[in-house]
Amino acid sequence: MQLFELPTELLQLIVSYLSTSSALAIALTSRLWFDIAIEHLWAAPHAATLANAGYRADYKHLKHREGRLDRIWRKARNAVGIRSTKDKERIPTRVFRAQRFQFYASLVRSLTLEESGYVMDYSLLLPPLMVLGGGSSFLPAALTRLRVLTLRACCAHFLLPLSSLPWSICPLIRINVCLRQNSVLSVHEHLELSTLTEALSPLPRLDDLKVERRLWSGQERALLQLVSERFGSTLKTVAALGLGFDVHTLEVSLPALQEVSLTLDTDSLVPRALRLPTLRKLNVHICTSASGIHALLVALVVPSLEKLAITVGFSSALESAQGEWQVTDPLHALLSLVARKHPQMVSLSLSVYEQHPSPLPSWPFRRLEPILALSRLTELQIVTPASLPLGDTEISALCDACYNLRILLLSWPIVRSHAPGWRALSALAQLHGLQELTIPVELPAYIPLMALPSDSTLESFHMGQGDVASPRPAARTLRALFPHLKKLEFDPRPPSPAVEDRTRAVRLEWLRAVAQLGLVLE
Amino acid sequence: MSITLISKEGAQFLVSKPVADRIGVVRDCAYGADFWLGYAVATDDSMGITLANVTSSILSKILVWCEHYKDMEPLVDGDSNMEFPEWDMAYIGHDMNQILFVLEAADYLHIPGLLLLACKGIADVLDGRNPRGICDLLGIVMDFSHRQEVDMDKENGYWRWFLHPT
Repeated sequence: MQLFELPTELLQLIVSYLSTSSALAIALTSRLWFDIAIEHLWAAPHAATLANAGYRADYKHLKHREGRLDRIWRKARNAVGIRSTKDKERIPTRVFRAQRFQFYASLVRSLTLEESGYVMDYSLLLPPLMVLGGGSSFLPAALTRLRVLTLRACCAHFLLPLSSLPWSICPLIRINVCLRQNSVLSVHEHLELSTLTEALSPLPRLDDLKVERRLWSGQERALLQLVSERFGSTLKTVAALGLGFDVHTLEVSLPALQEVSLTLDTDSLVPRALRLPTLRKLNVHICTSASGIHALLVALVVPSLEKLAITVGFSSALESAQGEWQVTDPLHALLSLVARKHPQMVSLSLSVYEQHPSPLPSWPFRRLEPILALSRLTELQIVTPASLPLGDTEISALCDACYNLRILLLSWPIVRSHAPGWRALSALAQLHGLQELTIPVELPAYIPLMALPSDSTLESFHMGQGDVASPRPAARTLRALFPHLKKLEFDPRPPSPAVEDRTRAVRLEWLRAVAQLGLVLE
Repeated sequence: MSITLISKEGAQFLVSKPVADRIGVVRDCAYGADFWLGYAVATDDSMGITLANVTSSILSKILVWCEHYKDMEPLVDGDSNMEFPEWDMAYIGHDMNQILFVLEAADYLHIPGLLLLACKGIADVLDGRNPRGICDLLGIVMDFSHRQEVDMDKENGYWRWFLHPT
């Protein structure tokens, strides 16, 4: 049996699994494969690429060597009515180029138009469009198979000419709009929202809206009102990043909303009750105070919130003013609230991005204990500059409580006296679904008997700033615990200046080489 | 409950219900009547179901896959970036001829997970080869002249334009 005897749909499926270079290689083998692979090659090109396809200088092809690209040229010639050599000389070169542009544009299924250096790259497409006779308004007509359109800009004015094009003639299933204002334009921020509102209104649909500002100025109500009225049935994702966003504005009707991203630093802008019945994922960025996210979680009326990501700018936002965690610990209160209101949560992420907090805080395990009540968690991520005295006992407790974990990412400055070791890894090896693991571990020379062979499916393990005493026996034990391990990584920075940098790196490289490659050195 | 499957050569394979459930055609034949008649027509059917387009060797290979996935869901999402499990890739191997027969049979028997795996297997065999290498492997006679090949490579190799714009 030959490959080309298969139906075209299956051949297209095979090509979709090929890399771009291999897809091109197979396109160059025969006309049959060319027709199949070229659709894959031009499914999602860069706008500049598309412009280049129409405007690449190619006089040689046109004047003397026309036989080369027969298939495309024949289409171009037929389209402009060339029948003889005289006709050919009569037709200007730019028409051929425009026809080539049109040919490739008709294959595009996903296109991103973005602002680069105060110019939308969409302007690159204008010359061939002008030749095709419709000017800029001809762009949607040329993109006959466009399914996904993404518009990105730093200034809403750039979106205006694009959004007013007749996109409704394209078979679009998704439109994403991203407005990320830069600091240079921040003085005109108050004008931007009204322009954005104006720019969005002509679009036929809107699925993903992301607006990033320095400071919201109270005009978000008009924006959300428009979004609710025009795109309520399609809008799935809203990201409103920047200080001062009034959460009351989300009370408008958004029946398809599944994901919200907000910057919240105060509870004064949060309503008492916020009904978002279809919400699945919530991302909240806080800078200096956790009161805003606490108030939001209290106010949210969501039947099934599955994913929560909290990003913290300053670790002090999670510290109590009195320093008595037992009474007013913001982090414990926040996690308790999550565990109480959303026990069905499957993904929880807490990331503190302050690199060098002063003084370096330390979080006792009891601050994180409410996480143990989230038994359905499949993804857990905690990244903090605070030291977490998590040892074998705490990790074992976590494994017992969250036995469905698939991805576990714990990152903190390791304390050698109280770090997870073999017992913790043995407990983690019992999690059958675990696929990715990041945890700083200190692996001593003594390997306890409990490190028995397991059927763990773990494939990726990052040791962070951990260390190993005896690489060879440790590698053997790691292979026994995680037989499917493919990738072992570590942070080359030593956990403290006291540790000898070079010898640690050598030990860990040995461990990686032996454990990753599956070599057993006797 | 078990079902007998009969290959092109007439060889019989006795399979359990969870294994047979992975094969769309068999599922429809054996249990499709549940919905309309309220009972399964092929329950412990001694006649068996004949799969006239599938040879014994390919059917036995397919049943290994079905046996492996009788208790868990295979990948059926069409996302080309998704990675298949290690067992799947070892199962499908690198023998182009055999993968082609598996692909054809998976299409005929309506097994979407195996169909995607076979497509991925073929793509892995083709990946990294140049046009000549692919022609040699697949036994294709190149339609394009060397000049045409160079020109089309230039025209469609757009990811290189950003590095060396022409």
